[in-house]
Amino acid sequence: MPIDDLTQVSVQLHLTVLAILVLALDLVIPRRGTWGLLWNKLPAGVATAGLLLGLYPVALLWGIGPRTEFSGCLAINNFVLFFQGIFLVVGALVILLSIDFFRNLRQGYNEYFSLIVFLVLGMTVLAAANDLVVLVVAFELVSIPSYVLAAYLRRDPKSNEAGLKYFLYGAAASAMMLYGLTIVYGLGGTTNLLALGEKLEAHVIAGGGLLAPLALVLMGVGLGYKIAMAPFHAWAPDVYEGAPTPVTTLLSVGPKAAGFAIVARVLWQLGQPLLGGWPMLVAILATLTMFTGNLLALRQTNMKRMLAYSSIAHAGYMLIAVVVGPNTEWAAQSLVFYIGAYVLMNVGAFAVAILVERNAGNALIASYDGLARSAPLAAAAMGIFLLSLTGIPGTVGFVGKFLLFGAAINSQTWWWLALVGIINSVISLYYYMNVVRVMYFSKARHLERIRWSAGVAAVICVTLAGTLALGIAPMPLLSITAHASYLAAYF
Amino acid sequence: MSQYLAVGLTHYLVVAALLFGMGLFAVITRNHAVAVLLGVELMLNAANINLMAFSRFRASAGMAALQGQAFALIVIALAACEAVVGLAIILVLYRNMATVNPDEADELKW
Repeated sequence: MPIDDLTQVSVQLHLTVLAILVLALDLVIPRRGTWGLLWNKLPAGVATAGLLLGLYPVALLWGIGPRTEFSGCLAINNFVLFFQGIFLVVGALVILLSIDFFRNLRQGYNEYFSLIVFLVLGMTVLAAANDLVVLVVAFELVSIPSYVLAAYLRRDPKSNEAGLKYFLYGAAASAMMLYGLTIVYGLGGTTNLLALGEKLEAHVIAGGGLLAPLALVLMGVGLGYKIAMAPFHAWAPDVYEGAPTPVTTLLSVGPKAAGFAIVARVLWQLGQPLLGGWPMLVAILATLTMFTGNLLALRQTNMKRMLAYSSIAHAGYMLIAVVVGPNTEWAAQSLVFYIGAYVLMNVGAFAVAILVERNAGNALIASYDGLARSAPLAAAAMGIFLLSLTGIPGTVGFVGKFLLFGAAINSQTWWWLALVGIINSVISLYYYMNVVRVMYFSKARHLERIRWSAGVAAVICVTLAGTLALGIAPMPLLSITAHASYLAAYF
Repeated sequence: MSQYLAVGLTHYLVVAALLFGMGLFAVITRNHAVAVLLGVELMLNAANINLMAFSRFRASAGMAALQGQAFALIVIALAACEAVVGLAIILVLYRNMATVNPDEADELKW
């Protein structure tokens, strides 16, 4: 193997070394005595800095052109690199949110950061997977750390239960996906995604059969579970509520974004030969996902559960771009733009939720009573994140939805998906604005004053700046995402 | 050898499909977390039989045939990893709640 190949996977190599380094630091530094402070701070700091440093190899690989490396196992193109950049930023933001949250953890404080880095590693491989074997391994590398992270508060029954539910749903879903992938391998005779596209075309011309659609549906179960698509969303509210809130933040953006990267790449390459009518099937599921998420969010009294249903609804919006995707570059661009926007506003909303939860001791929406008076800055930030999640002009969420629905209308066939999306945005306004009402117009005042932590404050500043700046002047992200949508031309 | 004794691709696929169905049935009906995990293992092994059968009968010579076998080996390793993490989570839950029945673990409800 030529040494040049190794530079092509420098992001993954960097993350592997980083995860092991964080684990080693935890072991080498004495926990007690004068070194205690270092033990407390260094691994988290190294993990954050290391994740952000990972953006450098991503930038180096950016724009060289689409190609496959390692005997065709990994696809490297701007679409994939954009996702990898997002995962690195998400990992760093989640670590900043976690430092204060897990401070009183008696065991496994630093292992937590190592697990986050392993999870980010899994996501960077999953987004780039161009081979069924790599896809399955990366899928498990994302899943297994997330099961552990969901159950990380060992003495909290809710967290245990979240871990168990996530594990049981996840193991069953990934086994079904694997069974589907073996059928795809059997039909195509190879595990390489690019080669499979051509081989499967030949199979369809030769007559096809029922096996191909069956394989697509089984794969859809596994991937649909990862992105919380209805009807495979049932785990999401329970897991989001029970898991420690920084982990919920990670699960709501990280594996979901990685899932979308691989859903888009698999469907755009293999969808047509496996089942000609897949866009209609996914369009129906997208509609179902949007309505399920938004209608069930209306009645929630727990902030984490409400955001769980909201994240299901957002998966529905993003599926619109997957449906329209293969025909236009516009749709590929709207998908990556929306995921970037969604990461900013959703991590921001969860950061405020973590702040309030740490002060109130619970995640009920009732704890937001009169927040505008006890913590005006936090309330204003939450308000802006919720407006952005609704899609109000002036926020990045609006630009994202504008691109998504625009792509659907532009395709002509799928104009009705834009209509469904707009109806759902109106429904979502009700439950998002309910939180604003509680914060600003409630007579009661649940919290007297708020104690901030540096990490949470930093994350809120970064995401708030991104949400507003890219909402008013979206050009920088637009031009980056325009380069990241080469995919449509490539395949 | 007479024709009806020959075991072909279809036989293996039918066995795998039956195994997968039994695993799925266990996952859906069992109310013991370990039994659900066993069902998942059955489903994974069904996938492995598929892989071995396809790599033996369908793939052209050389590289492609090996892909299926390597795939199966990797799936076996992944199944072990998943079982370890799953059993650890089940054990922690049992310590806290004295149950391994997913239906009885109902702290979280909408």
